[in-house]
Amino acid sequence: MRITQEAKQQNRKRILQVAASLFSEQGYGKTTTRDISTACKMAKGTLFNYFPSKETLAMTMVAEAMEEGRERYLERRAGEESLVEELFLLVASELRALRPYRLYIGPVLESGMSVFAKEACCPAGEQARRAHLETVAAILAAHHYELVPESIAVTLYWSLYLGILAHWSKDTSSHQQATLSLLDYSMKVFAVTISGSLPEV
Amino acid sequence: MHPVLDTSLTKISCRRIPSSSLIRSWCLGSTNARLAATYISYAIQKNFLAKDQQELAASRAKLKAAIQLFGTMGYLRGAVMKVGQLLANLPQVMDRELIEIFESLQFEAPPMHYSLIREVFLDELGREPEELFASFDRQAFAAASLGQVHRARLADGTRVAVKIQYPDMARTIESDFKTLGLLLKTIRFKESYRYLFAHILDAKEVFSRELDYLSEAAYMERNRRLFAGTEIVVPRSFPDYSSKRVLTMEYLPGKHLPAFLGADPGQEQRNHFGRLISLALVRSFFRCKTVYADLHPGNFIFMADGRLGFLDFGCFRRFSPQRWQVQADSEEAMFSQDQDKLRDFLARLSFHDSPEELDPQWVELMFRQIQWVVSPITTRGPFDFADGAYVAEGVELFKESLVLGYSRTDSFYNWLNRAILGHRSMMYRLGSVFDYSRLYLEEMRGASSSEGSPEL
Ligand SMILES: Nc1ncnc2c1ncn2[C@@H]1O[C@H](COP(=O)(O)OP(=O)(O)OP(=O)(O)O)[C@@H](O)[C@H]1O
Repeated sequence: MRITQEAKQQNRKRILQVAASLFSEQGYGKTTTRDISTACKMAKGTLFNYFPSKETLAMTMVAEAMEEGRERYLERRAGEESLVEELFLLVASELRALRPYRLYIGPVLESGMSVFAKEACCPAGEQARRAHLETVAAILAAHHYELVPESIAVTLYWSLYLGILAHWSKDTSSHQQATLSLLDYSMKVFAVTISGSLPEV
Repeated sequence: MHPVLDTSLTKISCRRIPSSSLIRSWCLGSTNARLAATYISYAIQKNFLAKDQQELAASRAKLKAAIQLFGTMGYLRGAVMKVGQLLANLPQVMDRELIEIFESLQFEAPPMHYSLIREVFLDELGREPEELFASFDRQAFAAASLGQVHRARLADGTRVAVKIQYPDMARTIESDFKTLGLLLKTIRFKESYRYLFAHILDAKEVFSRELDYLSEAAYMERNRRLFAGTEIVVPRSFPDYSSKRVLTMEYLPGKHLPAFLGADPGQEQRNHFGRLISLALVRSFFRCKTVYADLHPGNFIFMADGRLGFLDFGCFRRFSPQRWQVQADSEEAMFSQDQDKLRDFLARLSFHDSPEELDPQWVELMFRQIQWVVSPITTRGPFDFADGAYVAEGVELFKESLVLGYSRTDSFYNWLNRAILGHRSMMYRLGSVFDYSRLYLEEMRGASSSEGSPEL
């Protein structure tokens, strides 16, 4: 049976929704692809046509939330932010969009954005990384810095960014406010490093 | 600048990594901050430590460690600055130049940028500042001990001051007190160390209470009622725009003490505001049975129409009923100069079973201190707070007790002492002359006659 592009999109959306609620109800680790396909009333093979693995599925979910966060960042940006402020706004907006996935974002990023694998383990993860760094590069450009791909600055930024996400996923303070401090500090560290001077706050 | 400190400061500027992730300008090397650190240690050294060269050398190493740790503190650094500010009120202890440094620090806005504030608002109130208020200043106009204060306007045009707390302050305070513990371990103490430790725990509790702006708002409302009908204005709070970490209150326009003094006010005005500040403190002492743990000139606003703005209800210490009774009894004994009763009081204050166990040197100092504290009350008629001899004696007593280093007292005594010293030093700077005795005794009687009336 051939299905339309539109129906395909709808199926994909439904799988992501069902999976998200299963992950938060019974935990990411305990949820299998069989659970997801059953809950979607779908053959396991069909599910595979959309997402080759649970990891890819979850990474796609997270990547979409990150993108949504970046859209929010663009809306919220006033255009008068300092470099630190703007980077802060970007990541904070992403974190807010990622909230529903916070408790299991650790294992998802571990498989989807591993810092050890040179080649990304899944295209969704690699794409999310590239999209995020493109936004960062645009912010830097607006503040007259050039972010050269594969440079030390990129590695530094990315390490800080993943570190923030890791901290956030385990942050027990109310509203994860400890992460806000860490985020602010990290962005200052980054700004100091690339500019070689104190950031304007 | 002090040559020794100059070199040690350059070497150690922030080599220890701060334990809290809240880094304010200091660790990024602000010159003002380094200057202040130098001055603090210089002032301490000059006044309390250096008796001879040998002693100076011995204290140098400790001082070095102290400054190093000092730089890593996110919150207590502010508290240390406040000690400096307190000393700054007493020109005999500190040079004019240092006073100016401390004053500039007090109003230095710390860097919490607008992007961070927006996140705090979303978390705390579910909306961005610009959605919530008709207008909101992105730049803070004043620093607070746990955050910063912004001007804004409500939809109906009311001008408000919005106090916003830094994220994660609870943990910052926690780690600062750990650092302080570490710092104290490097200093040699008398056997009363454990009492000192109790004071520190008590301070931590009092400062931690400042974390909850909702309870500050509640206490502020209580004080509004207490001062209704007087020339003391306590700002109204706006619960719909407030949370645990955001406090929106009526904005009180006016000047702080330095600006007020800068305009060279006449004696009448000096007396007027001296009286109002005293009324604010004495009334809340008797009616609310509380002492301000964080009394400094920044808590008062001198308004153009002659009213006094009274701010900051986050940091206070309330008496327990038992402790209040002890206090009330002791005040009576102080006024009547009943030495036996006073000795009993001192024994209770220092956890001794009987006055015989007391250290005579300490008792003698305490008697002189009590004498100093009550003299504005026992002197009938106007008291001249600007009298140099009176202030000099207070400073001398303060230094003596620091040298004696006696910490075996209940914590309440500390807060009370600090508040009294704060009051006297403000009165001195104001140069007030007025009938303090009458004010004090009237408030004391007023409180006992309103006893049993419903809680204010
Ligand atoms: N309602 C207000 N109207 C005008 N100014 C205000 C108001 N509230 C606060 N401020 C300004 O902000 C400063 C700090 O506020 P506040 O004293 O409430 O903070 P805090 O955290 O208690 O700080 P501190 O411990 O240093 O007193 C004040 O000294 C004053 O300059």
